[in-house]
Amino acid sequence: MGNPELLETTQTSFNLRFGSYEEARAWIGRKSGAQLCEDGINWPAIKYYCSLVRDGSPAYWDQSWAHAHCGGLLAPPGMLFVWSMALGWRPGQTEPPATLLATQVPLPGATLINVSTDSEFLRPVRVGDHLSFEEEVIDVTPEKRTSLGRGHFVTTRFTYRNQHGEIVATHTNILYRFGAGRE
Amino acid sequence: MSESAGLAAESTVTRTWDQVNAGDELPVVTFKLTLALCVLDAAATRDFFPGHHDRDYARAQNARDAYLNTMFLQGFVDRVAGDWLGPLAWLARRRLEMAAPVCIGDTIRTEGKVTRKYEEAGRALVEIALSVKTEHGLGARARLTYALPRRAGESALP
Repeated sequence: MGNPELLETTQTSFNLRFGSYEEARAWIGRKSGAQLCEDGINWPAIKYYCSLVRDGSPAYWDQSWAHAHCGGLLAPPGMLFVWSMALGWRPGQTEPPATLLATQVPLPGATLINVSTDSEFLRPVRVGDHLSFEEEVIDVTPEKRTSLGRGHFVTTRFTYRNQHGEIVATHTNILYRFGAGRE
Repeated sequence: MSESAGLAAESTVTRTWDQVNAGDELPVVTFKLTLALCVLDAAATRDFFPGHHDRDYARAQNARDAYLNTMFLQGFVDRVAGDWLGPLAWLARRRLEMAAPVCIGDTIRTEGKVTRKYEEAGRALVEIALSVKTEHGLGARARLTYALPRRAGESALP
């Protein structure tokens, strides 16, 4: 059974914005503007991630092989969204960052779960690159009931560019913003 | 994470388009999800959404326990396909649908198959359907489109 009090911790860790479905509809088409990713593409973060999913590709681990075959060490495509994750705190900041539009669309649901992604990879991303991204709200559905509860599906699209302004990837994300309480 | 024998994870050899055919099956990869792996997942992906590390929170969401995040599943399905195809295959598109949370205590098992082989805009492509299953059923399903080199030793990178 859902526990609404416990779910309020989402507010402190992800800073969800609350409102009605009608308010949410008004957000369709809204864009975040270009946001520079916290860190440039770096090998320590790549190795950490590859050790998580146990990806042993020499494109991620072997500098000389990667230089010979890939023009340098590559970032795994699975890290695309990792580069856009914000730090939870930085000097002068008291509130958790509200960087993702998908969590800022005002809706009643106390929590969320990610549902699907569709990513296209257009150019290699290499160590030394620095990505920025822009997010756009594409759709918010009427309330739908699922096995987890009742809520709305929120679709946003991310466009990632490198430091030369070239689009390296696009990424469409659907999350389910829901209340877990069951009547 | 354990995996089936015969997976050449560190191979530098990439399969050419000629060497891959619709119907080819990928090696099965299986592992049991632990709390430690969920913690590593949160750290390595900078994702501190509570459902991925707070077991009480996950249960309040009506999940069975804390569960893997999207970025793990993306990198994991890419790795399972990439281990088989080789490092100079280029992932052009990944469609990932999460059917149910993959939770601590679950045993993950993959099923992967080449579903399509075709050419488009001069590129030699294959599509792979990969399921991430647990003892509770389907966890996630991916459709991966890869460009492959036409000749041995070449790269499919754009």
